[in-house]
Amino acid sequence: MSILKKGVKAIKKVAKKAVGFVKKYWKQIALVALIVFTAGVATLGAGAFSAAWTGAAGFSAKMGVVGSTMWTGVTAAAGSLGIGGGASGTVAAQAGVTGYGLGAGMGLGNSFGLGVAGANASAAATAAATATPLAGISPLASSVGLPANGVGIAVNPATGLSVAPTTAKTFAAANTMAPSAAVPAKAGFFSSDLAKSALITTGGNMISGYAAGKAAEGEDPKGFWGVDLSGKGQDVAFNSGLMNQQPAFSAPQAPQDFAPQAPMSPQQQMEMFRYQQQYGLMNPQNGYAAPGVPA
Amino acid sequence: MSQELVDSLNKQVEQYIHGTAREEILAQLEQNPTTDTMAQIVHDLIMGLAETANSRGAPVELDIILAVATEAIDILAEIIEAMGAPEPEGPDALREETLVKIVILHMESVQDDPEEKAAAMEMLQELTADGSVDEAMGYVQKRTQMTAEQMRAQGEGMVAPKMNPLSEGVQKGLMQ
Repeated sequence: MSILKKGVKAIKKVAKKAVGFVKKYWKQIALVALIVFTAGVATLGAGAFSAAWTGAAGFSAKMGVVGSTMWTGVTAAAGSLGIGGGASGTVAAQAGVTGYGLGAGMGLGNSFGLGVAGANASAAATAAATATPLAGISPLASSVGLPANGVGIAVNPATGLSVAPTTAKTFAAANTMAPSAAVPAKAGFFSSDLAKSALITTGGNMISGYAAGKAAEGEDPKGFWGVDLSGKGQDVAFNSGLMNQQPAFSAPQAPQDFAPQAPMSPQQQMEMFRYQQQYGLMNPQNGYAAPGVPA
Repeated sequence: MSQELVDSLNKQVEQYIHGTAREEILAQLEQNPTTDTMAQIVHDLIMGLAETANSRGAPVELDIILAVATEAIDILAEIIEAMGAPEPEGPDALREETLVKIVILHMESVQDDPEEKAAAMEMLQELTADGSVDEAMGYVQKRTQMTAEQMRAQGEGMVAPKMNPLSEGVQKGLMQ
């Protein structure tokens, strides 16, 4: 059996210097590969990791799969009493797991559901303790489009991890991990305030530039009905009948309160006359007279 | 001594790729210039090296294996680049994806072994304790962010005004 086929047992002997001879610019990714390997062997298995990796579209999504695999392995190792056991969360927290949360932490808007962000250790541990199926892989299903019949990772408190076929829908529904609060989700560029202000400014500049250009050519930009603010174009508008056209909108209807009332009774007319005279609204000297009273 | 061994192995790898196995490797890459092909070639190569070393009673340690693997990936990536194969995510991503793909191939050879799982759990605890996991997570986060920014830049480029066809033609004429 070769050293490679011994796998992790061989790696363990040289864990401290695992990337000792790797070129400088390769060191970090080599370390990532090492951790992904051990995490994959410890928890997900090659099949689940490979399926998630293959289903991930684009480099960012693939790195998201790498991050989630690392997180799953680390959480499992910290709570080595067994993922899903009630005590494992506490154990993970006490073991000092830094805590890695998955969620819409980075990327363009929420379209990149994947990513790795620092998370509250106890929250991560609690999630690991209670998530069934395993939460760590769940965001992948909805975000990077695992095949409909993907691979599910279920955690049984009694037996530990198991891998079984399931559906992407199940994955998504089972996602019990909230997005990490440590790295707030970045809104897409076009929904950001910066973009809005840039677009508005650009739009305003375009309109101003158009008007200035037309003015420089001795031509005023035309407004509604072809009449500009200085009145130019009125003759054309009148002659062509443009200004005689009825507007497309209809006048608002008078509310019911303002509709014509039934004729007032003589008593009502007298009351109204007295009221108007008292407040000087009507003066008999000006020709007004109370009903039945000569002016 | 170990550095000399690494240098010697790297030289052998280079001679193997550019010499002994050149035609076969080129044929494979021309047929399918992907990270899958690169990973399979490098995985076969390092498995062969490790088995040879084992048979001589001098097993090669993992850091040396990784050094050889990354050197081999570099060489193959240069060949792919010279062939003009598309690299939609850039040269670094091509190399990194290949290494992870090799990990998957290797993972398949040790899965479902209870002893390996137990050893993996123990090693992950060690890697967490010495800060390696933090470092690796930081790198993954950085790479994901970097690519997201690149994609955003591409998105901004898409809304840039199109060049006037006439001026584009003039520009092409000037360049010719």
